[in-house]
Amino acid sequence: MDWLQHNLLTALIFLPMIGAVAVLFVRSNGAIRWTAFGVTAATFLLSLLLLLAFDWHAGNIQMIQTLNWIPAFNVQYKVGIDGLSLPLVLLTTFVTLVATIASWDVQRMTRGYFVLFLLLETSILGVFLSMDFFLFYVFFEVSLLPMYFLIGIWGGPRKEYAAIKFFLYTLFGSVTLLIVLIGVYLCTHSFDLTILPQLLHAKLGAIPPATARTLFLLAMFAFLIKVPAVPLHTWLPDAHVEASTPCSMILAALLLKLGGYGIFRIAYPLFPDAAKDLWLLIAVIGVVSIIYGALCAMAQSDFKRLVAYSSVSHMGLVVLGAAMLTPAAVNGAIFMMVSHGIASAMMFFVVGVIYDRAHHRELSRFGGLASTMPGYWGLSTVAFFANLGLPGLCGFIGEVMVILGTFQAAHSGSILRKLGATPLQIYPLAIIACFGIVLTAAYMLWAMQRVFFGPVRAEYQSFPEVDRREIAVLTPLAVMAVLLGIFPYACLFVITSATVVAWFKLIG
Amino acid sequence: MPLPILLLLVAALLPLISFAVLVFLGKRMGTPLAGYFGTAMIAGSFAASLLAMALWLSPHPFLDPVHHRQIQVGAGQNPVNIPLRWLPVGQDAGLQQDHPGFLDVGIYVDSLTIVMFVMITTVSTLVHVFSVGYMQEDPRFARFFTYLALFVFAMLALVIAGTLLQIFIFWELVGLGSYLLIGFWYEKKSAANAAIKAFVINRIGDCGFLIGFGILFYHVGNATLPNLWGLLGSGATGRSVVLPDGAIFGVSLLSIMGVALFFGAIGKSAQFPLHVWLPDAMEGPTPASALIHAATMVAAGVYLVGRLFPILTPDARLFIAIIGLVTLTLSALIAVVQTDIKRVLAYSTLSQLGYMMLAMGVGSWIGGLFHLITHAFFKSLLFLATGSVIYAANHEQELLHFGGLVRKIPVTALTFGVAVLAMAGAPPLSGYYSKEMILRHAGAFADLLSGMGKSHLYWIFFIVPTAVAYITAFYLMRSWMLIFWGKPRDQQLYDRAREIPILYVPLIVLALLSIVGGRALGVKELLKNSLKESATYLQADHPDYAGYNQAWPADLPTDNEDVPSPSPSPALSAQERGDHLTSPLTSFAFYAFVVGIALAFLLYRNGFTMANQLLSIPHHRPLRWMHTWLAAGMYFNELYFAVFAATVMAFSYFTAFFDRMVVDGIVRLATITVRGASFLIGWNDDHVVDGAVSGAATMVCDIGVAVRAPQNGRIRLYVTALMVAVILGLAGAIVMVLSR
Repeated sequence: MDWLQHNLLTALIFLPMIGAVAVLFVRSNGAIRWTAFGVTAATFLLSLLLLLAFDWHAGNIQMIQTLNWIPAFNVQYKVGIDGLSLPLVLLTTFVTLVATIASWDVQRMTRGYFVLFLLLETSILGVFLSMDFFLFYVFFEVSLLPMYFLIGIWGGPRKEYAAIKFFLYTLFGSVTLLIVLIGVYLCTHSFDLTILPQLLHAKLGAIPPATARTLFLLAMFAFLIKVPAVPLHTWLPDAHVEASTPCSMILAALLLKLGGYGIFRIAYPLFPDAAKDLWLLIAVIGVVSIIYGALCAMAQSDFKRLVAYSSVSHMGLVVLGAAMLTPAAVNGAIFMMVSHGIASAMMFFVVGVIYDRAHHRELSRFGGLASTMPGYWGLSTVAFFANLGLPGLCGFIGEVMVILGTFQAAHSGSILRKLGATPLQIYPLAIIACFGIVLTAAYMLWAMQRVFFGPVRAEYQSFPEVDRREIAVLTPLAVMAVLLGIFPYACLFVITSATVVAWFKLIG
Repeated sequence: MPLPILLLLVAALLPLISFAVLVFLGKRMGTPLAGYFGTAMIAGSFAASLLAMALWLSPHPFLDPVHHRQIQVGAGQNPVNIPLRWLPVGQDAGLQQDHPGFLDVGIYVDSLTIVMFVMITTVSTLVHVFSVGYMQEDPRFARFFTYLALFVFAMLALVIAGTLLQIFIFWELVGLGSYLLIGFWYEKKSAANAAIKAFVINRIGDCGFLIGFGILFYHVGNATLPNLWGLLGSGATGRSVVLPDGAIFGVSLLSIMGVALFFGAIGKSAQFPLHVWLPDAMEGPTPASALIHAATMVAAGVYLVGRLFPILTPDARLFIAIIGLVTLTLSALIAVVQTDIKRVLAYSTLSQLGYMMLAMGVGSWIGGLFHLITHAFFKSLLFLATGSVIYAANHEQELLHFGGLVRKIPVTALTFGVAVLAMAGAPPLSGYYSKEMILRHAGAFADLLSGMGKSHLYWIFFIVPTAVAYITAFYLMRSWMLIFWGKPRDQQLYDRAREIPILYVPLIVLALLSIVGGRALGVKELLKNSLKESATYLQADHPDYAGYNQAWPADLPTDNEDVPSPSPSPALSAQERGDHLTSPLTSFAFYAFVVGIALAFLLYRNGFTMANQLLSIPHHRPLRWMHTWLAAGMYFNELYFAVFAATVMAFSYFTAFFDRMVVDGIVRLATITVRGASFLIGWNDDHVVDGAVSGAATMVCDIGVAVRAPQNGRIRLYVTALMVAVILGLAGAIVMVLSR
């Protein structure tokens, strides 16, 4: 047990990679699928062990494992976990497992597909667990490659365009992160994320505020592309539309979270003063994303594009939550990341189910499916309402907490008020964010109406009901959406609370 | 936990269990087993609520988890207040967190809760029984009961809620139930549209609720109802509230908060200007309309205002009164000319909800909630009776096709008639008591304010509702006459019409309740107890708490038998004066039902003949214009569609266009520029440098190729690009480190 506890995180990161190697040596397609499934399932079970090993009451980084990697530059292989990473790690292993089931009918180049798929899981877990900036950066970059191939090879008609756009756009962000990496190193001679905030704070005299602000903006640029926030979001709809269903699930549920996680792990703790100075900019980006994403979603005629833009809108809440720097908003933003992971994965699979049958995604050509496929409609209803933030499902908690947290910033004791922000700056942000929930309800329900309601169409009459595999994908996600919505504390906040308190100590 | 509370929890959870079972097994159970199951569960819920009410009348000892003291709970003693921690929002969030650092959900039970429970479960049970008959031929029979169970659970959880957060949660969930039931026949485009309309318009109201809740939350940090009343109760006097931490909650912000929270009620109770969804909601099955869009959910807005009442400032209350006044007038006028029977009832519901809101606004807390209960009985009766008519008429809803049905469906005609009388305010039926109380209080309110030297305009809060009471009696009697009286206008329909016991037995029960609901059931006494309980509970913490008694600055327009007045206030003399003055005035309202019913009887005794003659008189053209205007619901739908829906859609298409052409356009432009540059450099390299390749030029060229090549699918180069980027970064780092 002791050995396990010591090596658990490393085992978790590299188990999928070992699985990828194993997949190379398996013969039949069926065996490849089952191997991949076994590996992701084992990874998921292993990640559940974290819940036992993790000390829920401590807000610090735990289970640290350190190895020297490049001593000349003080680069370490350092992994650790805290209440911010743990939920995202669990989300990763869970969604990957579900997405593996969703990938069951991949026929073309199955071996290559699952190898890349498992490598992707390794790189995502690596990002969430790295406690060394350099290591973080390496995993952050490496995560691009498998997804690039997954879109570029197994994607839709314009897959090359989408894959390149995705790759270059996010690579562009990575370059700015690289500058931050170097800048931070030059300042502190360390990449160790567990001590970097303190080191930078101690060196505060050494870096002029303008430099800190520049570095903060560069880091935010990298992460906001990933989130993605308006106006850096245009790679997302293209990538989603061309990606296959399981890849869309991973992309929306996990890759976008790398950006959100980076904001909370890197950008804010390393440059808290710059973050506080520039709160209004970040908050406006968040609010604009919420409204802009929702308006764009409303105008889409392609079902998958609509869901992609709804991701932009929902992730805007994460950005807004970070900017407001209040306990409710930050807790809400973290919750939003997890709940969006569940709800968007489900939503993309819902799109996939209907695409498999109809071979198109034009909303205006659907209709009457509630009568043809009642079981599918029932499960989709959970996905739709989880996304539109109905209480009792996961979307509500994050949404309401971020909005309340935004109002909380108007309290005279809040961090922003102490910095001189006025309630008149904060109210409009909160009120506009509130309007987002109306738009969300409108486009979600309208989409639902166009797909499911109305008279049965002759061409869809023979559509088979969701099969067992599809139910196996949708049900766990639906159960999680309900559990998170009803027991937010027991499911999530019990893990994150102490960490958020510690996080606020770092921010000051 | 005291037994009555446990019983209430059982009552609330039984429908949830029923929902869970029906979701998975409903289809297998089929017709009629699923209906029997759902009905049995809800009947159990009703029995539990009734028992809880009986037990509530005697006191029970209870250890209050908030103040850690032993108290007696029960009617007239203390309420039960149990907060449960739910969302972590940080320690510094506010002042009165029962669980520090948390935003709570929880339960709060006083006599009002109990009354609401009994009313909801009674109506639900009868609606369930009715639905077993009404829906028996529908292929989605089981699903109907599934939705009903979900709705009843959400509604019960809403009224037992102890915090604003929980109210908000179930506020939206009853909206879901409503959405699903309105869109029950989703193959019909009109039904699917009406469902979306209802949900989205409710969301607009909820958006206001959330804004109000946000303002409240950052000042107070918690939303347990007693905490709110205790902390902000003094805001009702029209002065700023000084919070315990020294911060000042300004009176204008308090008013804004109150109005914003009230927006939630405007949405849910379909008040002007968000009233347009309710008439369309009639697309749903009629029993669902009876339960949701007449008796329970739409009244939730009134319930919310009742719960928020002590923290509403005079300005906010005035706003509520005005909204109520506008709604009750507009919708009564529209109801007069509607020809779809369900739309008549929908507009009449709007109008009655307007009365309740008006009551709340003028400070008649008991009047508003009393009317909520009596209205629930006679309006669900009206809807179910209409359901029986529609069933008898083979799903015909147009008044044009009815006539003379009294001979074919006498029980329905009789019970419908009872409901008409009750709603028109004929004594001693239930509606008389509640409506009379509202009008009396409105009169006292106007009298007090004009007596205090304010404008005489306040009298419209009395005059208009009294006049509308005449219209109410008129349009209800009109419907009755057109359905049941005169000669059959559709002989085939008339011949086939019949009624069946499973449909009319619930009608008889509701008719009895509508008759005795005013005096015999003791609703008013229980409501009075509710005030006493809250006051007792709060006075331990806030000795100066006056809450419900300080509806208006120093002068509370209520009759003194209804509100326990802990301290003799200067208002007393004014109240007496109000009572004295308004009793002759309220007698105007008394005659409303006689006049209205008589007029309708005279005008419609031969069906539409006389009304049409009246309209066709040549110089009555303004009358015809008005008729058209009212028949179209005053064109609110068209107005909103043109102004809001079209604007939002146009804006959304513009945003999408902007996104594609400008935001993404910049990205594509950048790509094209880079590609062009790389091509130029490559060309330059080949033709100008011509073989004399410098190291630097090679590198630039390679980058050019690297950017261009992937377009041909040469993926390998991407790996190189990544590696080059990493290596360049590292090299830069090394150089910089070494140069220090």
